Amino acid sequence: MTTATLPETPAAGRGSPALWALTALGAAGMAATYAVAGPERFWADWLIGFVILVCVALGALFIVALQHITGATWSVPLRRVPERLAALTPWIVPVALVALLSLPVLFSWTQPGAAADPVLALKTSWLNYPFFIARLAVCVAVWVWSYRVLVTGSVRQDRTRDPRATVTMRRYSPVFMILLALTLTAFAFDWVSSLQASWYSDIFGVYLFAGAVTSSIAATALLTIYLMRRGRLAGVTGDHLYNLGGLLFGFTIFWGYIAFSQYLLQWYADMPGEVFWFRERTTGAMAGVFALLGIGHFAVPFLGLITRNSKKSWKRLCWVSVWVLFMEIVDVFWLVSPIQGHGLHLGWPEAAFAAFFLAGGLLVVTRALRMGEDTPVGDPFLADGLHFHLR
Amino acid sequence: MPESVFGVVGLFDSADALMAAIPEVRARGFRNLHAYTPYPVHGMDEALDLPKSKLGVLVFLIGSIACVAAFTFEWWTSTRAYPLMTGGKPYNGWPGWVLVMVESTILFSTLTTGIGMLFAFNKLPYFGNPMLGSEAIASVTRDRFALMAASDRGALDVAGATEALRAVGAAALEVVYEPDHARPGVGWWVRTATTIVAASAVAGFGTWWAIRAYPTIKPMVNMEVQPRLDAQRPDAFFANGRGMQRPPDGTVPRASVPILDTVPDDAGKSLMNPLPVTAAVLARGRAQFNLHCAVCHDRLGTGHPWLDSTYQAFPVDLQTGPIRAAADGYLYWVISQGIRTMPGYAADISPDDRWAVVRYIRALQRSQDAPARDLK
Amino acid sequence: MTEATLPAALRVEPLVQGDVTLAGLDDHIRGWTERKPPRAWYVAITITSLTALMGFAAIGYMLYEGIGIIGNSVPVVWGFLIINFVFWVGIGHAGTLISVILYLFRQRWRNAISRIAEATTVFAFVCAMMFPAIHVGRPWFPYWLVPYPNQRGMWVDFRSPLIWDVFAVLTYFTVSLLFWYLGLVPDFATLRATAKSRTRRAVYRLLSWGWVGNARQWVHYEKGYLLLAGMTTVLALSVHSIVSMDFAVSQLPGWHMTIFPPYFVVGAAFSGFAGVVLVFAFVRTVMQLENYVTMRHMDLLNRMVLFLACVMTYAYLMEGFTAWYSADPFVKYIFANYVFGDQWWAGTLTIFLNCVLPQLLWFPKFRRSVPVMVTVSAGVTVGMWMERYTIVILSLHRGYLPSSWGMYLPTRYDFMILFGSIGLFLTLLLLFLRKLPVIAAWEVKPDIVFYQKQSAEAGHA
Repeated sequence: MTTATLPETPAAGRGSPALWALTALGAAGMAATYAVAGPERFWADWLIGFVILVCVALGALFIVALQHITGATWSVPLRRVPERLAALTPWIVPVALVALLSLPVLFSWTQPGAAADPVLALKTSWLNYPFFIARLAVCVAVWVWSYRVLVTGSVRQDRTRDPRATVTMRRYSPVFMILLALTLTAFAFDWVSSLQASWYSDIFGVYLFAGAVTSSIAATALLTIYLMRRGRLAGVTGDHLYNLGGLLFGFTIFWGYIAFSQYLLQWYADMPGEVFWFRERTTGAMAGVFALLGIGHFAVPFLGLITRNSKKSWKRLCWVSVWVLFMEIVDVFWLVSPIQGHGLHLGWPEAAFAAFFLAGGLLVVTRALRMGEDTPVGDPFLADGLHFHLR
Repeated sequence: MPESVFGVVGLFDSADALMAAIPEVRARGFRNLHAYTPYPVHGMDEALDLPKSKLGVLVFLIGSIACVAAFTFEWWTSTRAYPLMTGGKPYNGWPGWVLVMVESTILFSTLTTGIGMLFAFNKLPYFGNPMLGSEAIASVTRDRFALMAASDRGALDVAGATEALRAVGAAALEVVYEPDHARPGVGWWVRTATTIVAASAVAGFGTWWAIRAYPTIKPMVNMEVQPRLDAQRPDAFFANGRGMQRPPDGTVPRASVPILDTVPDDAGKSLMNPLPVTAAVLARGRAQFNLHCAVCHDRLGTGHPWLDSTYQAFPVDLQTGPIRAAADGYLYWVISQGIRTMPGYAADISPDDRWAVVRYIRALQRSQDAPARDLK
Repeated sequence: MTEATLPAALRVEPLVQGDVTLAGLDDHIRGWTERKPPRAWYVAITITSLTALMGFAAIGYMLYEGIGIIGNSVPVVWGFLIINFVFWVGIGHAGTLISVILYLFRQRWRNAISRIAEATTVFAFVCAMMFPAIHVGRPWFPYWLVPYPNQRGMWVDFRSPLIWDVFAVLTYFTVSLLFWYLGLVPDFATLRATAKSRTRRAVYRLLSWGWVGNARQWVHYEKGYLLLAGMTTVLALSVHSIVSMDFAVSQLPGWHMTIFPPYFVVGAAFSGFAGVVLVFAFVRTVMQLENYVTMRHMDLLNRMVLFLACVMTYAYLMEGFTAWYSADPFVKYIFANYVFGDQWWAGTLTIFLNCVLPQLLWFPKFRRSVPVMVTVSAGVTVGMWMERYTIVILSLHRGYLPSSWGMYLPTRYDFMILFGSIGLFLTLLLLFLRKLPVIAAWEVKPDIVFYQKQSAEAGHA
């Protein structure tokens, strides 16, 4: 199949005015949060948005690199979707710069009493301002650079039709995977785990990774279905969706496995140095969130996608994906919010932050829908991918 | 009796040729088509209009039942049948049950998959399959692809089918007949049943004889029999031949108060129950009473009559007048020091618990002879 | 875009090579089940079965004389037997992962190697299941591990990792045996028609249950295969996680790590893949399977080894980092003890063999060199055994109470049992290679057809 048979890419607009309005409304609500609910609430919510942004953007890059590293051809016609989703990556820079201001407010190791704490004192060579900021800088630089190699390179291939670009991306992907493992772990330990710096769990990087990939697959599926329904992904069939659904199903199990084993091990050993973290997140007002997470992040998508037909059906995949994305928000909320103390910190400020980040993110993604062709027309394996049928 | 026709089969060199032939043969009016291939050919189920396999539904059903059953069983044993405190975990420690639930679910679903696929859905074993007697079977499990126009309820136009298959390019055409002995007769069932009964009898008597002749072989005798004292087992080490020894006379538990009185009636005068009458004290007393006393005195304190004849033990009915009239100190002394055939429990029950037992005995007595005002 | 204009790095080699036909594959497989094996086979099986016998003798003597003859002693109450258990369960995982997970990802290259990989799973589990049985303190009461109604009114403690182990290992063995057997059924049907002797044909007839390869049968068969693959994946994940939880639910420094479950699963796959590479490095040339198990297969297997080596390195890094980050003096000490302590060689060797040596496989030339892959895989197999040694022994002998610190020295019986289990594994493997179809013919045949079509097209072009 050649490009002639593919439909022309309709130019997306500047983004719908509703999204702009929602973003502005969210921003106003955020300002009100700072003024009314106080800086702690503001920064905790900002951090939630920051973490989710990083998760979705990096998850999208991971999906792209995964396809290159395995040499899979079925996913070639879909690859532009996660590539466009990865356009969120450069936006990590401003969000991260703002998030730096949260350090003195939220993190236990920046508090005045930290130096006197015998456990935190042992960690000062890792948890101090210069090193912490340097790690963030390195991580963000790696992510933006990888975005340039994997996505910008792929979009350029639309014009050049040079198969050597594919070779470059395939060569870079293993490197990216190693860098992703290290940077995402560092990010998880720094920006989530070190909120309560005396707690530690060495699976934590993988936990965040599992959630990131799950939510990115869900976002990819949603965007794919959106484009398919508009007739912009000719040749993409239910068989392609089946594979996406299968990946979502598999990573749902993976997330459930990682989450449960982390919980089980700390619950079982019951060591005071670690179990307090789960105690804050599983008792009192958070008990409901914990139960919702267990059922919603695992059981619902698991049962929702268990049959073969459900993975092929765009309607089913659509609502499961929306639900999974919602659960990713719940997950990060569950991780970050309890540092503000007892009780459920949920109300209009969270709605404002959700509006800002969701609408802003959608604006970025709709803009990215103009980036390159809808399918990577320069990829030598595009025809193979379009001919893909389930066995 | 002439053999009945099972079908007409023809061979193709490739799966594509077979797939192309199916609609043509069907167009000639042969509906009951079977394809035999050495490996699963994709698209064949659609070409032949085969229904989708319902195996998944069965597996999901059995798997769900296994999951729920495993959870119920774990809940029942851990919280009801045998609640055992380990590692400071609650009885209802569900995180610890999840893994056994997962394993049980998978075990039963996979067994359902394997057994269900082979036996329920494919109806194997089927050694009487007419195809097994055909010439074509050697090729279709190897490198050829066969299409069969099979007889539909005994009716098949053999000549027409042969012609149709020849027309689409099938080679090595062959008429496959139903073997006469497709279904086993009475004699087969008798032989099989006799064999099973005989084999069971031989195995059973053999086992019985082996156990009689070689009662117990202990291959691990050095590990099993070690020089150590076992609780509640005889042992030659001590003079009284018991493995478990009572503490020496006069042994008192920590925080105990020695009883100076030598006669229970004295104790009844000198000792006062230090515990108040509260629900907590009574609960504590009930726990100790049911643990230590109820085995002879029964849970109501009335005593088990059958113990008399079996063990020559005559547990006193705690509901009778003399015991009701006895002072708290008297009961405390008896519990501690023992009386007649009853041993003392000073080494087993702490002093406070003994006093709680006394309170509980009082409650028991009142429960069996409640004045009218208690019932309002 | 046609194949010819692609850069060399993007071209895909076919999965089979040379002059292969469907019937040729069948004859090749059947040939090995019928012909008299080479002299080397007899030499090999004599050695391995004698080694296995030596192991059984040592186990018998241990059961007779008592557990004191092996090196276990307080505080190191888990010794070689548990290391061997974890090691064999790990080896067993590769079969499942190759056969099942790669099947789910539709990696067709697993077709040619799945049968032998599944066989290694089953045999490794035979070896693995021995160890918990002989390791329990009172081996004459193994049935106490099973929840059965009894007159004592007692039930097993379902929160105990030992009970999880029983369920996990028994389930895994049952399922892998079932999966292996189901895969064999169509191949038995092939042999039923072509085997030379009458007895063989009768045996294969029974084993294949009257399978005829009807399309109606294949529909259910494929569905069942897919379902089994999905469930076995979850099973593989859970089984070695449960093995890891034998350690990780405790509070012992060095054992209580939340990364243990996935880390053990990856380690299991790692040692298993290395084991499969070792088996194929010999089998594919000795049994002349080069046309079906090509160098591309070996390349891909070695890529998996390399990938898993990188994940292992990540896990080691995380463990080391978290040990420091925990700020717990005991945890810090135990990890330093792994590489700097009395038995520093155990930890150091583990890191070298599992993380450093496999990095050779980044080079395409080495991924296709038999001497290199044998060296690396043998190194990984030893390295993964050493890893379990490090975890089991070095954590136990330095617990929370310095007054209870001790030293561990294995005895000759430990080694006899270890080598005996290797002998048992190899004996079973040799018997399998001699008597059963070593390639899943019904899975490879479509690849041959595809290759034939491709060659024909290339010929015309």
